[in-house]
Amino acid sequence: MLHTQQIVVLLPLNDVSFPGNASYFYSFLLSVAAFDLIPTDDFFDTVFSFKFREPVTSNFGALGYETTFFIRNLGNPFLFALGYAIALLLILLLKDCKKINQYKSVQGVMKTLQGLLLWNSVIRFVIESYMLFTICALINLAYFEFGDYGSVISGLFTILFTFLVMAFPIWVIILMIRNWDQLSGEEMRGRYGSLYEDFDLEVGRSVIIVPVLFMVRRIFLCSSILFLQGYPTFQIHIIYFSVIAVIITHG
Amino acid sequence: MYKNDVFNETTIMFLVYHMLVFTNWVSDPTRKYEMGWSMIFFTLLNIVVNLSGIVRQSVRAVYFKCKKKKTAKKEAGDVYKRTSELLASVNGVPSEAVPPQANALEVIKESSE
Repeated sequence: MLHTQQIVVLLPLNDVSFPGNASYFYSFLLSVAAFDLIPTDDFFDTVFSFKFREPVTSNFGALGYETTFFIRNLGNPFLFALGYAIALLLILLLKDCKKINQYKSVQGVMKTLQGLLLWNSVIRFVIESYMLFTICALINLAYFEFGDYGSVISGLFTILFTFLVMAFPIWVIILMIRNWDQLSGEEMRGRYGSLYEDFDLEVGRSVIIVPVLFMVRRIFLCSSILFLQGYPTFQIHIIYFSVIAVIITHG
Repeated sequence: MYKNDVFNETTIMFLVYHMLVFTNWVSDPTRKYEMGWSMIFFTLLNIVVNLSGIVRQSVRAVYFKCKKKKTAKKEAGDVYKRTSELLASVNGVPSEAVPPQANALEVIKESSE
């Protein structure tokens, strides 16, 4: 459900003037679909000293993308991503540290954390936030600048997340092709099951295209929203053809 | 393909058709406003259908769990009843004399000794 809503709430970003009722409704819906639980704008402005930047268009501003800074547009998911990254770093660093691992309680905590984080929950988080990462990274890429402190930090995270967004589908293809025979095993499901839990693996290797299309579709939609401003007909047709492509591929 | 996915994709398609009305092809703002309500309706319909599916799945899971528990309890009661009847017929022990918490296997073992 959330995946559909993420596409639906971004429809008003296309270069089409939505009536007031629909525009207001979608701005409310976006805060739910974008996991915006805590207001973070003032916090980010204080920490990263972001200067004022105009939104891409008034539609972007109305939907909460009030600036072109990646971190500020992303909001809560940025904090979640940071939390995940710190937890993963700690696990990978402490995994081989014998001094700390000699205590049984620490071993228990480490085992629980490894079970929780490696890698299913990370994959799930990236998939759920994929569209947000893509649109926020593309906005900052389109208006990229390295000047003050805020723009440098935001620029660096933009490059990092753009790499993540582009590399993730390639990683999925390589992982699934290489480990195709073990995918249905318990161990692989425990580690990477989130990638293919909804698909019938008995269909054959062609099923790999489903998660890849999921991500490539989002990259295309976000690119058309951002780079085809002024061409609403093309934007509408790209969404329409993406729907048809998904129905054909799944069928 | 799952029915749910087809429904979600069809909803997106409907919403895209609404967007055509919001372009300059339609110049009447009242029509656009009305189509705005229609768009909200389709979006809400999608949310309600998806949510009802999630709720239905959860209720079914709880129902089957309760049913499984009830069947297991009933089976345990039947085993106890059959054991007591068996004891009564073999040793002449009245079925009411068997303590309810007694393990069926232990009672059979003791009675055979």
